[in-house]
Amino acid sequence: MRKKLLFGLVVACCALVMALQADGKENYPTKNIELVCPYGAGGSTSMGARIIAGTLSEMIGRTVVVNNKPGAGGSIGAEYVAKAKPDGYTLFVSNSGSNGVTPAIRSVRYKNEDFELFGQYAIQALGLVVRSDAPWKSVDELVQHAKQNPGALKFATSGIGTSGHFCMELFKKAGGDLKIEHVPFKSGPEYIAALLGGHVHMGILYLVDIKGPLEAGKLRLLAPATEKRLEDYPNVPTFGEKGYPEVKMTAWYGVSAPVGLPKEVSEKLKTSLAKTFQHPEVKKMLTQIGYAPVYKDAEEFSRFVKEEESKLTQIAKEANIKID
Amino acid sequence: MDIFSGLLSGFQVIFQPVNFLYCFLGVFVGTLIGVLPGIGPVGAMSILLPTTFGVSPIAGVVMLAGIYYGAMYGGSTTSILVNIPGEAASVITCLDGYQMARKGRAGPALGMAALGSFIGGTFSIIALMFLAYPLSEAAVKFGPPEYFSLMCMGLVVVTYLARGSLSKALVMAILGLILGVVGTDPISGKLRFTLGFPDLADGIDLVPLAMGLFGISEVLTNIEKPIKRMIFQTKIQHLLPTREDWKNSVGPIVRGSFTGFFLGILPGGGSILSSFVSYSMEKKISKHPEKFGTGIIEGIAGPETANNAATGGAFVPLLALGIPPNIVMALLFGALLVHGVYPGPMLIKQHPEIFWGTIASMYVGNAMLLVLNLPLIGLWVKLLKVPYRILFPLILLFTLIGSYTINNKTFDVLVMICFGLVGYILRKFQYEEAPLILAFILGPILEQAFRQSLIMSNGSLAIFVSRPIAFVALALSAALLASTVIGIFRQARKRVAEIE
Repeated sequence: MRKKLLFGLVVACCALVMALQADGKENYPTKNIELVCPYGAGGSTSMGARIIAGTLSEMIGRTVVVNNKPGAGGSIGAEYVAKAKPDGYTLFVSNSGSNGVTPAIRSVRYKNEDFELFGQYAIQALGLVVRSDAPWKSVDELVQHAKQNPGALKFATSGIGTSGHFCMELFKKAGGDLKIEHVPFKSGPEYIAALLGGHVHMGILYLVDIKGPLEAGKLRLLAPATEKRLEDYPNVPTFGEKGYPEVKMTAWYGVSAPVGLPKEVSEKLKTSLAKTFQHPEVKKMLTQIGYAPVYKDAEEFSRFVKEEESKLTQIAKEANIKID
Repeated sequence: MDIFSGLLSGFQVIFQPVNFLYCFLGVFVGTLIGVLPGIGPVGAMSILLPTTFGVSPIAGVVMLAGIYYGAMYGGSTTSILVNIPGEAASVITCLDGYQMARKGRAGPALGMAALGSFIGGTFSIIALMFLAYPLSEAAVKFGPPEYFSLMCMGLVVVTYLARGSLSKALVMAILGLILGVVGTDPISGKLRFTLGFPDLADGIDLVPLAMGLFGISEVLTNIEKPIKRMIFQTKIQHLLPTREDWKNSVGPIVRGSFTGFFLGILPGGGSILSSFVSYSMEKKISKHPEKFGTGIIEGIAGPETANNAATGGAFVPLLALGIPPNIVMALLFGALLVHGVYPGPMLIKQHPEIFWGTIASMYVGNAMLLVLNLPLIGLWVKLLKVPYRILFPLILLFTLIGSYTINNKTFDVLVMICFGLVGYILRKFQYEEAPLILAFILGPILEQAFRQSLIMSNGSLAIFVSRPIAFVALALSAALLASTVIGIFRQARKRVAEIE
């Protein structure tokens, strides 16, 4: 009796699975979706991805699970997605790291054409920061000092080929080929501690990471590398205002999938993601963890990523930044 | 006076039923993931992070913090029982913990690990409370030259870890340094010894390395000698440390508390290092250093106290400077950010309830952990009675899962298996793993700090002696090295004299 029941159950299950597979395409999604984040579970990219995943799950009617695949500047996760089956069950957090600076400085086994971009959900602002007891009150004073003392000043980054490093190279060039030496660190915290302790003179870093020290007056923001002045620091002029319009860089984050999705899957993802990205609750939470929720639709984002790619490749070439 | 009224208000916060519950949840989950090899607090915390979005910031932080120090309690369990570190910070506990278990003294070993953790944890909270702000100022004085000198001291200490032959220990340390070189050159960006694998671009991960060297190789060596199993069937006398154990452990616990707390403050330092330093220090000052590694309680009490004291230390830069010194703290940072609370120098003024609530929760959580862990000891010890034919496949299964979950990469599983085989061969020839692991941790920090210092000084080595902290640390390492060399020389002379 029991055996019969078990057998019946197995048959029923098989039938169910087959039925689900048969009309899988029409009713996408029929199973959980994986959102690959190419960085570790602790970082801000991962936190942002989890916020997106939460709301996207509600929009699309299936659970979206964040899968952290860190390593090699985000290229491990990106390659994993680029080679995944284009069925809409593997999504990717396309960002300025894995799809911007990393391909510009490493040999990677994927290209940006391997991804279908659905839009951008956020950016992060970078800014030039010095210790509050440093003698320079503005970018101009710093540039002047650097020109008079070539090689004496040091800047820190959280590693070779990070956004902060790229932006610093832009600044050095814009300031008239300044000689400021690079001291790379391995992680953000080590490098902020080195700035606070006065072991290095400056750095261009994500402002959210140093909001505490900035507010407490331990660090001073000289200029944000953004288009417009920042809401949090309305009195600090941007690089552009100071006469260095080319020093502009942000980190950007969007969602993509491997190219070749069935049309209806692509459409469904596009609309669900657009709704997710513009959802007030999502925007609020992203703001709270330090992002600026700047939305770009699929077309605009794709165009933007192309521009970024050529811009970053150019900087990497000129400043000879590479990891090989 | 301020501190006490603050702490009192903190206790008021934590004894609210919701916060209390979250604290318990945190330490409970922490203990569980601590016990499971490989699965560390980072994974668990990041999965649970979104659940904190919906609750008050204090409940969220209390839970996440609980997972962190809870994992430090649980981490020693598998180190002691089956020689597999449950957490990177419990690697060193394998040395004496596992030997104690083989002698039928798993109970006292586990008990001392839990009690040492409690004492270390509580000490670090008290220190955090009084010293957070002054210490945060001192911590940023540690720049690259200071790190370099500290790491030199650490490398000298490697020699103390040697149980048998010193030359074999040095060989292992060199092997550790070489393995630490794998990955991206921190200054020039060249890839070193990655053999074309992108997975090696960030270097070899410590956890699969340690799990392979200690755990897998242990299983392999045990399979070939089934008789050894008899040892575990000797009667288990005590479940808790004896008076004798306590007498031997007081010193290590006190020293471990200090070592752990202060190393925990430094970004990039932390609990792993503190456990190694504590162990080496105990061995160095012990009257019977030769007994270390044969299963003595001092070898557990020191490091297990130190790694828990380090968790308290790690809160110093987060709460006082707004810098999370490690990934775990970065997650806590994130949990606070979501609620619009910025950890940093202003925290104690802007959100005193969060600052004091967190501190009070750590007192409460540590007490909960003690209550939770002591009764479990009986259960864990019974686990040793499970026959090997069942236990071994289970251990292998858990290490495989554990090594995968660190980065969700099959590559790490392969790394673990490879090092399991390497560890097996090393054991056959009586080479020890501990110096390798310590050198593997220290090497990359040492190299980077050295090269950063030289960039800072435009290539002048004088930077290491012109800065007081760096100079003192270097001088100390030189003295330690000299005393070791003289010791070896004397022994050799004695041996020559005996022969003659």
